Amino acid sequence: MKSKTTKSLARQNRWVGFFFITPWLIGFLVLQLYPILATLFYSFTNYTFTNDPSFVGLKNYIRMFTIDKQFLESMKITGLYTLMAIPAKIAFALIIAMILNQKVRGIGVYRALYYLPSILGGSVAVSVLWRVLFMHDGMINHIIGTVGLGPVDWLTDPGIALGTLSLLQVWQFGSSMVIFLAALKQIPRDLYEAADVDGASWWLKFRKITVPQVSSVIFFNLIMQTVQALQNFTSAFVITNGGPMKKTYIIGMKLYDDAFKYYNVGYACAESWALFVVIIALTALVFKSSDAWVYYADEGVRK
Amino acid sequence: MRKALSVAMVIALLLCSFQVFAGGAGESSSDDGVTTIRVAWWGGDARHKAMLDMIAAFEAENPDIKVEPEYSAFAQYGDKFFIQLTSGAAPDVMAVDQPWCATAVQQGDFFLDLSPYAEQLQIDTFDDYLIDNYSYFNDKLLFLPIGINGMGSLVDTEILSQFGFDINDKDFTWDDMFALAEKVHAANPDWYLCCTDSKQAALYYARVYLRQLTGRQLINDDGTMGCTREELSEALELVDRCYKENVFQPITISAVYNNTMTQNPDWLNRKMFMILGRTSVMTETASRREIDGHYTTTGYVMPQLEGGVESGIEVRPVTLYAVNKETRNPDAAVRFLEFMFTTEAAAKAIGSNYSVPAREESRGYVADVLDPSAIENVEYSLANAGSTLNAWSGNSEVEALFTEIMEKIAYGQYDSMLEAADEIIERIGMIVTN
Repeated sequence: MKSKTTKSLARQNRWVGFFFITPWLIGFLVLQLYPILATLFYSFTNYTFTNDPSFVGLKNYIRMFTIDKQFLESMKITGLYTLMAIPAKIAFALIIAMILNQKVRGIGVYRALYYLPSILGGSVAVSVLWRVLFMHDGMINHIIGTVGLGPVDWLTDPGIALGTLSLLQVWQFGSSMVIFLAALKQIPRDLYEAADVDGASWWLKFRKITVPQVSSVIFFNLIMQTVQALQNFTSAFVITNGGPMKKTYIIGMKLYDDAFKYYNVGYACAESWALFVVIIALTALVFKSSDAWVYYADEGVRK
Repeated sequence: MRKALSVAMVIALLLCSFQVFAGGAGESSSDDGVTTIRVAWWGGDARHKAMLDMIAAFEAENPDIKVEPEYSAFAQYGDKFFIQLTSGAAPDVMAVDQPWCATAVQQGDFFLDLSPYAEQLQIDTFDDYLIDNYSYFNDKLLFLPIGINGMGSLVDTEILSQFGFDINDKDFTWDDMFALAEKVHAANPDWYLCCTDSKQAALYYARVYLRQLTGRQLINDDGTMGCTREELSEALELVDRCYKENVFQPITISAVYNNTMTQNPDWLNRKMFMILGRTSVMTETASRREIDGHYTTTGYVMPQLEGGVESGIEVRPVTLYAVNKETRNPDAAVRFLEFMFTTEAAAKAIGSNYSVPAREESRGYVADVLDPSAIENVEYSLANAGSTLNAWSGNSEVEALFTEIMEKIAYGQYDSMLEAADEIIERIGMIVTN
């Protein structure tokens, strides 16, 4: 009898629990799950916003790899952008976190200041600012001009523009840095003290103690930042608008143009699923490789 | 009590979320005798203010109708236009860009036929050219043009007159343009005759030249090419020459101002002196004279090809307005359009925000705020108009392709313009078949 009451109470509680997460649940179902399933459906149709979608089988997926040369080109550009931006961003975040891990007066203020770009970074306003900084008559060219260099066409030279965009991504290192900082604070001091006794150099301590100890955080940052970079849209859209000569026409922009400029919605949905599969595959790859290089302290051994 | 509260909150939330998706044009009447209609348009701050003033004047005269304005910038408006239309969430009265009309009509029956209201809307007082070419689809009167755009150039007369440019000489050819550009650049290596971007180079140089040369559409109605590769290559040659002979600023400097070329500091600081485009570029710049200090810019003609088949001048509406077919209040919507298009109060409130009005009578109401050269340009364009652009030639994907090719020409990516022409022809084939 008693257990029956407990069971019905548990069931009742479960419903109360559902009620409490209703706002999230509605958001998830309506704003996430439904669009995801809808794009999968539309990716097999010729939907254009204005027509009744009719089923076209794999036509959109075939077009992506046979007719539309820009698709693979944009994927390549996006990959290159991610390759340039993410390792630099993670390295930069780790270095700054190590500096901010020192015991210096007013370190809290510095930490807040270094985090600022991350708060601002993704916004349109900062992208506009970035554009102004790097244009032909911009501040960066004025600064390098004082030492006799330049001017460099940061945004309009087809060979340089993508690098300039990835700099903005690197500049938003704050959130990774905060996580690194927390990880650095977790490293037991006695490891460093023991290394000091053995006369280890700074570089050796960095390689043998710091990096393995924060490797799980590197792993986390690598995944999060890679996914974010592969989905980037704002900076290319605002700063270069995909130019010059489509050299910064990342896949996020192409998706947007195909759907909202040319109304090839079915095709754009197929492209977004292709991007989704690439992101999942890359994430799986990083997860798989993590066995070899990520160290979890609580398990005592390399996993 | 707490449980009741949480249940109430959940129900309220659910209702709110459904409300978001339910807001179509249908539910716009209330019980107190006041009819509410939703009116949507795009534009900048000046146009928004003018439209809101016009709406206030309309409501003062029509206390039984309340207008809910919905306005945004062009890009955002364009993004949601078709989604709203097809999802049944479109407003009662909406602004429509001319290239969207054919697409929308092709895809569905979204707009109210205004033919029964033709007398009330005084259709016979609108410019015939616009009504005949852009308002009727399948014998239904669907779109009302509010302003007219011709084509021409905006020139800095004060500086160009130093180089022998004469505003009164209307026989301006492409060769004259090259000769003038040479003098300008020779006087100061930082000066270039024309301010442009890749899209403008495609639409107002290459495409105009091609139409002057052939008198035909770029792409025929059946999707086949309307010109030969040699003709196309000659048109591309024009743009190539413009970059090579310093008519245009080098692309490495100007590319940052793609789509915002009038914000290029070298234009604002008078290092470039001519912009080819539609009449609205003249009215817009005229309205900014106070800010920019460009007291000497004025509208002028479009360069012509000596011995050309046609003028290449496209005359088209600035913006059209349509009524949602699903509206529950067609009479209120039409009364709003009647006020907006035909009254002096509305014309004065709107001013020059829709270029030159499509009705001659309205032009008279705003003659004091309109740039005289813009009116002159519209009249010149109407008198010398070429054929109207067909849907394929004005297709946004085709225009984007042309823009991309202009950029590649500017960066010197082709050994010959025939190579560029071949790329265009090949890729247009792909666009048409998809």
